[in-house]
Amino acid sequence: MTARGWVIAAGVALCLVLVPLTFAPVLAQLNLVLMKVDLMAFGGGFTTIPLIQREVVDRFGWVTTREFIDGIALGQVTPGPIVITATFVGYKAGGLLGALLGTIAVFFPSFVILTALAPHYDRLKRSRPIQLIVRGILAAFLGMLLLVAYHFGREALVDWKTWGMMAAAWLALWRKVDLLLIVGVGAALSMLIF
Amino acid sequence: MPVLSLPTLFLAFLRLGATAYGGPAMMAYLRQECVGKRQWLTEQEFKEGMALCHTIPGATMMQMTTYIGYRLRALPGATVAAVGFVLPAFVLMTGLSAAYFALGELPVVRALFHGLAALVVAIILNACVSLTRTAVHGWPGLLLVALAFTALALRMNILLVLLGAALLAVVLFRKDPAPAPTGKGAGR
Repeated sequence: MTARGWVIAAGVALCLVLVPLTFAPVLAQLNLVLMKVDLMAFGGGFTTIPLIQREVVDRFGWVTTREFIDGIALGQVTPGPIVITATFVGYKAGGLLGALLGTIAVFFPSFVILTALAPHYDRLKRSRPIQLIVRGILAAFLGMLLLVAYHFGREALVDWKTWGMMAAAWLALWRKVDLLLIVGVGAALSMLIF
Repeated sequence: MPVLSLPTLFLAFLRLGATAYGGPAMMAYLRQECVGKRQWLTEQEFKEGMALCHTIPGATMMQMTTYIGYRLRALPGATVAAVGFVLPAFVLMTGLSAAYFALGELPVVRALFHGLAALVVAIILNACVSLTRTAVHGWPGLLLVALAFTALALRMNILLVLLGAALLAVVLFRKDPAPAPTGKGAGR
């Protein structure tokens, strides 16, 4: 990436924090948090869940655990990456503008990293320490995701019906049933039995 | 091959973004569209992109679309591909969020999410299984998993936990012949 590219990237990142600061400080804070989450999100997708849970739910309380689980559920019925749950959090914190800024914030840092590294990848690829480090970080995220699964389970699995749905869905995922079909059937069933 | 115009690229990724469902399956779909059908990239280039996207932070699918856009039309191509790909999900998610926060207290909506929450637990457990296959080979990996679980439960700083995991990995995995993560199923 050229020097001009870095200046533009730094400018966008600053704007995401400084512009909301003038009229909605909470959005400035949220954008900062989401950019931080993106920078730590090795392994992509699901590894962002413990990161968002820690910052957005536990630390700042912008959404409750319950709402966060529901936001992830919505992220399953929308196409594209699961990280789009950040849009949900942004909407809760600041309406339409919060959703838009949050979405940009959660994708922007990794976009900059990718476009900066893409031309130099050959050198990076041969570096064994980097491969080991990435695997170590993935293992750590697995541990964190298990803790999140435990917290979510305590919130969501409250009786034999919810336990049954969880087990059935897991079995279906195991058998590689289409995710949209699972969610569709699960949604219809939920409105009947709860 | 003639140079792709940016609007063509945008529309192609807009369509992909609207139709890419289902976690890991999305990557196969993207490969089929960009390597098989449109022949924008060779199989080898696609594989290299995957390896890069699994090495750096960020949502893997999103990184992959950015990478393909970058290969085709440098920075403008990357921007157009990324925005096009995320736009359908963004519009849909904003609409659903608005509906959720307006109607979330209706009994039928509560019943709906009561069940969907159980599905989310299953989906996350399933992601844990995929991650295990990618990242854990033998006891050093398991040790890292257990340490990170405990550290997060004790509310330690996540960045410190990740740094610790990176350092430990270099020491513990040193003699491990296993290849770098290919990230099957870990990315979404």
